[in-house]
Order: sequence, then C-alpha cells, then structure tokens
Amino acid sequence: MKMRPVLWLEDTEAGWAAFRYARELAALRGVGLVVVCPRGLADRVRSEAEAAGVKVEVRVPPEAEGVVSLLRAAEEEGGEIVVAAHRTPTGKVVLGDRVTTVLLNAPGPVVVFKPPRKVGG
Amino acid sequence: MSLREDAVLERFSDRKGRAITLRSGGPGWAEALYGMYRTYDPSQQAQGIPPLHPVRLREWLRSLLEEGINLLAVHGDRVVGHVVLMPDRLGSYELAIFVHQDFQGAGVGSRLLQALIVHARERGVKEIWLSVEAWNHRAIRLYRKAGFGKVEGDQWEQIWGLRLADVSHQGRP
Repeated sequence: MKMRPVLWLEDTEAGWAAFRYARELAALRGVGLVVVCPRGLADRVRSEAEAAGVKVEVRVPPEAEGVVSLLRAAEEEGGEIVVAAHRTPTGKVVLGDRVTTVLLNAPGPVVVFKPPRKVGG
Repeated sequence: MSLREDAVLERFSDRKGRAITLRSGGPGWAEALYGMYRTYDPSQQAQGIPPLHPVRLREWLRSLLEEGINLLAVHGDRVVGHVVLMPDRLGSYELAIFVHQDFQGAGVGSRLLQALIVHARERGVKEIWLSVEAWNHRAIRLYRKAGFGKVEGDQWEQIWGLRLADVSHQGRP
C-alpha cells in the first residue's frame, strides 16, 4: 500500500507550514504526496516538492468541490489527510468551517497541523 | 512585581462586595498572572488558550505582556481577571479576556472590558476584533454589551469587532 499523505493546501503561512510537514512525512515514508489546492498554487507546490526530492500529484478541484475531492483522494490513498489550523495573535486556534468539515467527514486519520504561535497572526 | 509600571485605572466593589482594582500591567506581572491561570478552570479554556502546559503558559504570558496591551483586575495581591489586546498584521488588535472562575458572574469581566476600550482608545487603537466559539453565549453576551458587532461566523467560530476610530479620542491626532 502506498499511503501517500493527502494535503489540503491554502495559501497562508500556516498552510505552507503544513505543506512542509506533509512533504517531510512523505519523504520519511518514501512515498509521494498528494496536494489538493487552488490552481494558482500548483507551480509552487511542484517546485517545492521537487526541491525536496518528493514526487507530488497536484489536484485542482473546482471551487465548490474542494472538500469532496479531498475526501475522495484520501479514500483512494488510504492514508491520512493533513490540514492546517490557524492561530490568532492571542494564540487562539481557529479551525474554520472547512477543517471542521474535513474532520467530520474524513475516511481515515486527519492530522491538523497547528503552527507554532504567531504563524497565523 | 514592580509597582513602577502599575497604573491604577479604576477601583470598585464587585457584585459580591469584593474590592477590585483595575490596572495596566507589563512584564512585571508575569508571576501574578501565572498564579491566576495556574488555577484557571481548564474546562473554560477558549480555543486552546490559556495553554494547559505550564511551560507553554509561561511563554504565552511572556509574549502577551511584552507585545500586548494588558489590563488586570486585582483583588488583594491576587490577579482575578485579565484582558489583552494583541496587534495583528493589519494594524488592528485582537482581544482575549479571562476572569478567574472564583470571580465570574460578579461584573468583573464587564468592567474590565469597558476600561480596556477606554484605555485602547487613549492609546490610539482604532479597531478591536475577537474570535469566539459560537456556543459561548456568556462571552458573546459580554461582547455585545460592550458594543461589539458580529463580523462573520459559521456554526463553530465567530469573529466580532468594534471600531474605535469613529469616536474622538480626547485630543490625540
């Protein structure tokens, strides 16, 4: 079983920190990475994955089907989903509507990557 | 704790007749605040703060006291309430407020919040916002009463905001 991590990427500092985490997870496991993200992020994802020697499959879903595409990818891979939470300047953790939806609907484990303080501020 | 940095803003008796002093606080208050949060009811944690781990709690307090605008409610030598504004990247400030469970329901949070708004305006703060869990009705009631309005939200988390810019701030440019 290949079990590639499936990352839900948003263009925030916390999102890219989650990307680096997922990339490292894939490298340690010796597998590739699946990234579900908006089209505008695809090039940067490819170049940053390649730079670390990790094969990446980028999936750009239509806006409205983002969560469903993510869940489908996770189902196919049989591995975990990685999503980013955000931190406010006072240190509150904000999951947001989409992360909560992913948690409640994921077919398997979900890694909620919490940035260290300040990253989300 | 250093008395030099203490500015007493207000003295009052809470609804149970306990003498409360509101003052601004800087880094010298870290230990007294740690005392309040060390015994803070963990079930009242809001979105992961105050941190439960003692080391993280100290780090959190250090950063709030160094970078934020802090007001404390003090009873005797005990800190019983704390409100903080932390600057965000857009020039606004995020608010967080905690009142120790022994002093809740006695009007302390409300007085603390009102004093903070006055203090913030004097310091030239133009906009305050906060994140609150949608089911935290007690906190939401407090914010509403202080003049905050709901900015956005889903069934889990909400953002509330208060604009101070429209109100004159006493002789400041």
